Amino acid sequence: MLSKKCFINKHHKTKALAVAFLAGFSTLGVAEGETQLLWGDTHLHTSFSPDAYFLGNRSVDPHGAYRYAQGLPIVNAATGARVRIDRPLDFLLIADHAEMMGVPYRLFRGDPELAGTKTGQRFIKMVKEGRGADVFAEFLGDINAKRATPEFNSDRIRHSIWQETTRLADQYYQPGKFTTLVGWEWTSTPGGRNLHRVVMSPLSGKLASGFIPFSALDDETPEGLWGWLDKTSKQYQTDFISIPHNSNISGGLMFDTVDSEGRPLTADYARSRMRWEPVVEATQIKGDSETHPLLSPSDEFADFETYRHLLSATAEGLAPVTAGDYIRSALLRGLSFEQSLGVNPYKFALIGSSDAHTGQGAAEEHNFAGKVSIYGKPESYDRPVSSTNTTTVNGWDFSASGLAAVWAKDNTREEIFAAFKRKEVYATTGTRIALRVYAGWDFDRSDRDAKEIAAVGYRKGIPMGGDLSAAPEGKSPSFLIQAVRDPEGAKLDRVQVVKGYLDESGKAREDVYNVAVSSERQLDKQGKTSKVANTVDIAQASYQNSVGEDEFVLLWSDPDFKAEQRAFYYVRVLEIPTPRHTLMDAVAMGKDHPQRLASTIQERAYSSPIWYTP
Amino acid sequence: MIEASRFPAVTSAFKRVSPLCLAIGLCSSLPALADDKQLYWGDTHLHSSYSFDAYLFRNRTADPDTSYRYAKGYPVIHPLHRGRVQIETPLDFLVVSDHAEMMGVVRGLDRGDKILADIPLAQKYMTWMKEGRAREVFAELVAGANSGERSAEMQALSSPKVRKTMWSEIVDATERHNEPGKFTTLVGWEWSSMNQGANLHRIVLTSAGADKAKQFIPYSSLESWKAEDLWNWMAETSKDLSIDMISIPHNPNISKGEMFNNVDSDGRPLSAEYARTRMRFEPIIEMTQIKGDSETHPLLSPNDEFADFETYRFLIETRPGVETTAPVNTGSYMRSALQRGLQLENELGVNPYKFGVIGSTDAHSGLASAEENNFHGKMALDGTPNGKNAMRVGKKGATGWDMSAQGLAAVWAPENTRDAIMAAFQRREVYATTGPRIRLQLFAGWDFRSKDAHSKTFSDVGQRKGVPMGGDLAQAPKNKAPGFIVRAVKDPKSANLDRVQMVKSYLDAKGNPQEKIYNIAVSDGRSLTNTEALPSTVDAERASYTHSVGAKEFSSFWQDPDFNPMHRAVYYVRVLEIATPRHTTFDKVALGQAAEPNRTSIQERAYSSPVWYTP
Repeated sequence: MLSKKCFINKHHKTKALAVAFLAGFSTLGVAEGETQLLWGDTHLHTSFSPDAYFLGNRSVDPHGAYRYAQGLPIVNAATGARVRIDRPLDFLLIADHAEMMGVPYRLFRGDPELAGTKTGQRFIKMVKEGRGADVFAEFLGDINAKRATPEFNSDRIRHSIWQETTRLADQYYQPGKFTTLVGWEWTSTPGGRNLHRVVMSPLSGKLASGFIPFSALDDETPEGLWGWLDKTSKQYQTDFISIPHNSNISGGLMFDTVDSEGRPLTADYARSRMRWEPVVEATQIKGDSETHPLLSPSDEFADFETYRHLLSATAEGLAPVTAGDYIRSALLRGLSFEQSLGVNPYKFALIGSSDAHTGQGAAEEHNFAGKVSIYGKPESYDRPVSSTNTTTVNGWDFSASGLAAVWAKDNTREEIFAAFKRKEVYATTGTRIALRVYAGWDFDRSDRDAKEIAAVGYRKGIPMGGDLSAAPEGKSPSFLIQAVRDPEGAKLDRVQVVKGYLDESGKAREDVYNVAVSSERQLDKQGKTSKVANTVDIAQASYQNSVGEDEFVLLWSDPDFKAEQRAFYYVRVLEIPTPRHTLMDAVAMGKDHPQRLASTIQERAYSSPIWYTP
Repeated sequence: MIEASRFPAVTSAFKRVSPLCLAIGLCSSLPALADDKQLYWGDTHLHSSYSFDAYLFRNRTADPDTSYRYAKGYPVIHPLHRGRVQIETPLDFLVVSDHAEMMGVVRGLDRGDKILADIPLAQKYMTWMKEGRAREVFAELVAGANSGERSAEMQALSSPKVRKTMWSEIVDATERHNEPGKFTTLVGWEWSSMNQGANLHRIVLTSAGADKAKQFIPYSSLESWKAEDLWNWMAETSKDLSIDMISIPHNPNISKGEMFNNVDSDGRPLSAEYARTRMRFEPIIEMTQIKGDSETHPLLSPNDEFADFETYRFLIETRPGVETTAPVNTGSYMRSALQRGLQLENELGVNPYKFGVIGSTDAHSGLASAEENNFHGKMALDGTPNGKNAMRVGKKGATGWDMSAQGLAAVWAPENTRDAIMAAFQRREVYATTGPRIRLQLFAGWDFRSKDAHSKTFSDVGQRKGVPMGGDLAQAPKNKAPGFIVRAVKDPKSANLDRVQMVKSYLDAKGNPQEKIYNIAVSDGRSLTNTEALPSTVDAERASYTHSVGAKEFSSFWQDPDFNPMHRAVYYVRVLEIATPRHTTFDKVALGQAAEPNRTSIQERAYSSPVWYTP
């Protein structure tokens, strides 16, 4: 079952599981160490986002989004049916687009300040004539072309909407119980290539209401955004984080080798980027950006929720696959830059979030309400978002993902923000796998038996997101890993360690180690094993938890470690196969699932990396 | 948890053998070994898009196939809002019971079925439906049904050819989905008889397969509105085809007292013959469903603090100027009917109202949903929070807010097959719940002792020393009172239990019916005699509740402290959950509106089938 460097104690496993299921994970975290596990979404749009509004979400505003996240029933914007999250979130960041935030929402509700304008009157008339699609095209076309109607983009209007957004963030904040984080999305899409960032702050809504959220209409370069963050953080004596997402459709720009002006990256750029961008959103509705089969050809799990549909309606062809588009290749690129510049610009932690525009998030496969509300009904999936895009995307393509997992000292704005800053966070594709990872030089086998993995982990090592350096003579880094399955989800297939490093010649390399596998399977000499059995009943869109493990606790040390090579390590935990949300829809409609998409998926968790520096 | 132990071991000497033999001897058939029986959950009353009213109220897509898929746990598309919906816990059996009257006709009209195209009235209705006048079509059809007079052109919609075609489609779907041992489908339909606005509806079902079922056309109220005629037809048909059939009355609460009347359909006093026939075909009734609970009413049971549960008094009445509120009388509720049955047995020697009880939904959405938090409406139209306002028949008719998210039929049977489920119905070893899957076992006998209630082999002991729910006790041994062992286990996915009650009805020395309710097990260390109400944990602003009060399970022995061996009596058990949010409260929270003050929460419940005592 295990490689020689990997040990699991069966006895411990059983005990820990019992505790986990009795106590629930949040409390388990408190009991075990200094940090508790919080689940949230830092990227949710409401009817205040213009595209959300035009694409069918007329009703789920921040009130509805907060209520849904807190576990209250709400009315779904697409169906009018009552919906309720299975398990409430611990925190939520409503990240409506800064560009024209709340404008359609207020315009079509007759806000005189907007409806009284010339363009406003024209749009209202067009909608009455049934030309809503044309209004949408013109409105978003203008934003993308950076020629937003000045009548809609005055500071007065922007400020007024932002005040409502921030006031609601404070209204729904329940410190210790449910945290609302103030933020927004900076939506830069040069030439259809996605450079979007979610900006997060630890500020109260009251204080944050003093500024106007920086938009891509103000500046579409990340450097411009960082400049504003720098200025504003000083002015408000606060901090910000900007979180890139969908590198997979950035056309190589997200983790590029040059800056926005096309100049090679500098140490200054790297420092500046790391000042503001310690975390990347690795997985969400528009696909998973961990890696791609073209980049990681020997990684059998690389082709997961691959999504290559560029955002622009006029873009041609699928998004390219380059080292600048995916997380793993970016982390590798970061090692090379550190070698050359002395600073790593791509030393980031990972989270998942939804980017749902329905106000409902997307973590629950069976409770997925679509990317946008026009895809809130299965029968609308075949409808393309835009007929002019040659890579036409429709409702089948979206992934019901993901979640941000945070090891925080408390469920407050300050502590969640602090966990992001120290990178003690991780990503899942929606499932609530509880994952602890600690690295150090002195772990031994008996540490697996510790009552509290976290206690020994923090004492003898560093948690995910941390650094190791200057290996003691003759030692390899070892990793103490605990992965517990989602008690309401599927069992676990395996735990893997993904290692990236620079070889003797400075060339970027990657290896994926199976460090624990379920169901009595063996690893061969190459460390490979067979696929876990797929229990999914395609006809019924159901699965059985008859294979897989409830929990893994293991210690792994790198058998191929070279003390002089820069490296990073992150943990990937795979669930057994379960039905993709679209399979449930296909079954509900009595149709076959589209062949081009997987009907079953292996949901997963990605830890934030741990870096080794010689 | 407290158990009733006011009458521990009976002090007099036991006569183990003879009473037991007696008890078994009086049972209609020797029951299978208790341990062989499993608990199966189902719905015997579900309408699909083939029911004329279902279709007119916007169920245009959830056909029998969809209905079976939903019940089996497949995700399906909601017929109104087009979202994906899925039952939380699949059912074990289902009867798609579309109205026999106009079966498949409205659907056929809308789809332009060839078989209807030549009928003049069909052409008119097709036009109306295209014009969005579905409600007018509904009103005409119901008015026709209520008046008892049908024009020749309306009769054309129900020609044998049309009926046979529609019926075979339904029977074929039913046959396709039957998976013996795994999921049982029973062939059935609804005989939708109305007598001047009085609901006399029955679900008719058979354990027969498609080959037999296709040899008849389901008997409808177009043939006769009189139950006696239905039973005649059932007698002939079951004899001709050598099949079993039962009919299950529902909604006595809106029958104006006619469901359990003391006269027959022609106004003549009931006879022994009537009673025998009725008991042959109607061993059970559907006591709780979306259109309310028919156990009893506060006016009939003024001392029963839990009597006012999901009370529903909206008559199915569309005629102008006619009273639409159902009167409350003896013939309209189950408990009073059981009492009337004792009286009639006194007079006639046969009890016409000796029935077991089940719950079912009567949903017209094709979605057998009795889950409060996953309820999809009576019709498709009230399948959304806002739709609950839209769904109203007539100015004073019920809206979606008045409907109840219930109920379920629980069946103790040795296996999940048509025959086994039919046999359980016939021996009344079944019970009703208002939606939650409370596991309930009840045995009655003369020799139970307190420790039997806690036996590891509870059902073995129960079966060996007594009779299960639905059974009979007779001729009490000297100085003995009937003892009952009861085990109630909460639905693991629902709320804790508040209490177990024994509801006893009997005829006093003068032959007058009396009723008394005993708390036989209560949670949280409360007293059995002066049991205070549990605090409600319902948070109406969040549509939530907690598990901080109540019990997970009760095992209890109870012996009737007021037993008089000369008095006819009937006993059944009622199990109450703690208070939980009513389905409408979820909707109100979703809409951001205040919950309805007098029906924010409910105490869901299970009702056992009764056990009778005959002197």
